[in-house]
Amino acid sequence: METLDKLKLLGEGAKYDVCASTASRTSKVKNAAIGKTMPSGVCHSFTPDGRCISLFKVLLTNYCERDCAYCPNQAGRDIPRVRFAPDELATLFMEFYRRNYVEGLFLSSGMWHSSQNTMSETIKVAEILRTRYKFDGYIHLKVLPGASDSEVQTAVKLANRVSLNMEAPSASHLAKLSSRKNFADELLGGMAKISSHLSHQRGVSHSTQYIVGAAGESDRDIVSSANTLYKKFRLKRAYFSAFQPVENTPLSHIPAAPVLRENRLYQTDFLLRLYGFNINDLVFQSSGNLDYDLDPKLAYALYNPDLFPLEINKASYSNLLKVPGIGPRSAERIVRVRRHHAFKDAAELKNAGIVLKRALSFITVNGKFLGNKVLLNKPSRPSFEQLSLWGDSRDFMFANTVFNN
Amino acid sequence: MPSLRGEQEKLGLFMHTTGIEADAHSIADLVKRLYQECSLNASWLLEPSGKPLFHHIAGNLRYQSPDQTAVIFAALEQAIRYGHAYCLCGIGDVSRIFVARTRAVWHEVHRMVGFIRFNPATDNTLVTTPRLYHNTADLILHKISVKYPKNRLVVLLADKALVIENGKLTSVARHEYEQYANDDSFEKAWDTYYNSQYIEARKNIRLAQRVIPRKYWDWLTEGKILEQESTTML
Repeated sequence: METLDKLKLLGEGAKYDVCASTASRTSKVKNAAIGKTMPSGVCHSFTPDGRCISLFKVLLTNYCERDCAYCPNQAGRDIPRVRFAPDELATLFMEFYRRNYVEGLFLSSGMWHSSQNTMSETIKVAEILRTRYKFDGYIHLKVLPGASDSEVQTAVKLANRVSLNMEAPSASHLAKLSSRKNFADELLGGMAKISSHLSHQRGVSHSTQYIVGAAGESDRDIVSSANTLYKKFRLKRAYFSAFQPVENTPLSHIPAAPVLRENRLYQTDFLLRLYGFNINDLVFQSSGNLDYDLDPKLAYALYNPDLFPLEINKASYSNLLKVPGIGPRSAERIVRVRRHHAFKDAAELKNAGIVLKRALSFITVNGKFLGNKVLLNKPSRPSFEQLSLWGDSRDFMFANTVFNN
Repeated sequence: MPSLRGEQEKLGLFMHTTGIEADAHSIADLVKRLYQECSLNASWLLEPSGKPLFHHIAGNLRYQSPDQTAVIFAALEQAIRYGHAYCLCGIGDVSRIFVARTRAVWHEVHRMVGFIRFNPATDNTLVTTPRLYHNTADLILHKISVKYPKNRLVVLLADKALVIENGKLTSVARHEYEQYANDDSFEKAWDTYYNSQYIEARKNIRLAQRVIPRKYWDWLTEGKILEQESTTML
């Protein structure tokens, strides 16, 4: 089969994996001929669904001996099976990179013969890039469930990021997705191996991914699981992928998970990682799911009316972060500016980056409350209209997306 | 991006000063004079907290707009009157424009570092034709050249070509590299990969248009795919 035909199949096989390139100052190659991991956050394009293309994201092969019920590449599914030779893939990637079409490589794979066999082929691609091409750019390698300790160690040495997909928050949930994946040994055990090797490798991080809405898990299950991984295994990031049913798979009858649910999980994840929230601050409904009508920060504020309103000229940085419409950058600006200048009106706050529509009900400006007192004293969810998710044109993320609840 | 109008187009505080030869005076002298003549304390200009202001002035000088100078002077006046944080955090209306313009300049640099596509030429040379709205070509080259330590990178502009090699930037005649500008031999490989990443069930052209504005669609090869997808929505 021609290389471009393989690229089509193996690119499609990897499209549900979520990734992003991150910056790392640690160099993997001496006297590099090409490639650098700085700066981060460079997007080379965006697909018609609005997702960033920053990495060359492919499978090494879509042959797979596992039976993961959600996966288009699962064993037994009748699809064309192909594989890249390590040389072939490395050469193809370098052509994309040289022309600046991609920022790095994200390499995953189906499990071909065994995880050891597949991991060694995957590692071979990274070795060719680092040694033959002297490529010092970003490489993200997937660690397959059941990978050995030495394979994980080599992967961590060669890559800038590694990841092992949890897919589900617990063994009982995972059992609904796969009969052959072992939660404790392969997934948690794999996390432990990665974490132990990362302590010896500067500038390398690891991430994971959950499938949302395929195994009957609640948002609380997913968030609790991710939170445990952050604390116990030094996980850098968790990604969430809304389940999309694939035809001729055991889960094809399950409706697609709403993209909104995925976004609420990301918002919650940001609160935990960047806003100083802890898991007990989060508000879940009785079902264990987040409120999809309200973003999690607004839900927290409504649930804790005794904490508000905060005086904008006096509240601490960490308390400012609890106010809907105030993020880390605008909180930092407020703290910097008010050393020399007291905020007097809402227009100044708007210029500081605060989303006034969200924040005014929870703050006072120079002692003056400019929001809706009725809503603050008697907060009731139906009285609040979710005006915007991000406060700007990122609302377009939901403008044309079809939801199936 | 808004621009200044009417009274704001005059130079504010700076209307009352005569122009001086910048090379003949140090910043410390100017700070001293400002205090003696206007009772305004701008000693922060000499401290690390003043450095971002010079960064913003440099950014604004690259921003293409007829009121470029007026905005710089008006923002400087706000910084001197209300404190540097007031200006640098964009609190006042003019400061907001001032800060936003620096951001727009660096946004263009960041965007182009991702969007530009190179065509290989001879001798390890890579050539590109960016779509620029501000004076950022040299910044883009410096930023992207760290990924290509062994290559010569060429940016074709309207009237010349900028070349960077081993960290050194030079300018040459455009025609020397023009022939490499329109090599589309890799377009099929990119289209194949690009289409393989698209999840049609999540199609959202409005979001895609926000992140790749329509003004770039005729310049990027995937622009025709975006155009096609936006048409099928209607």
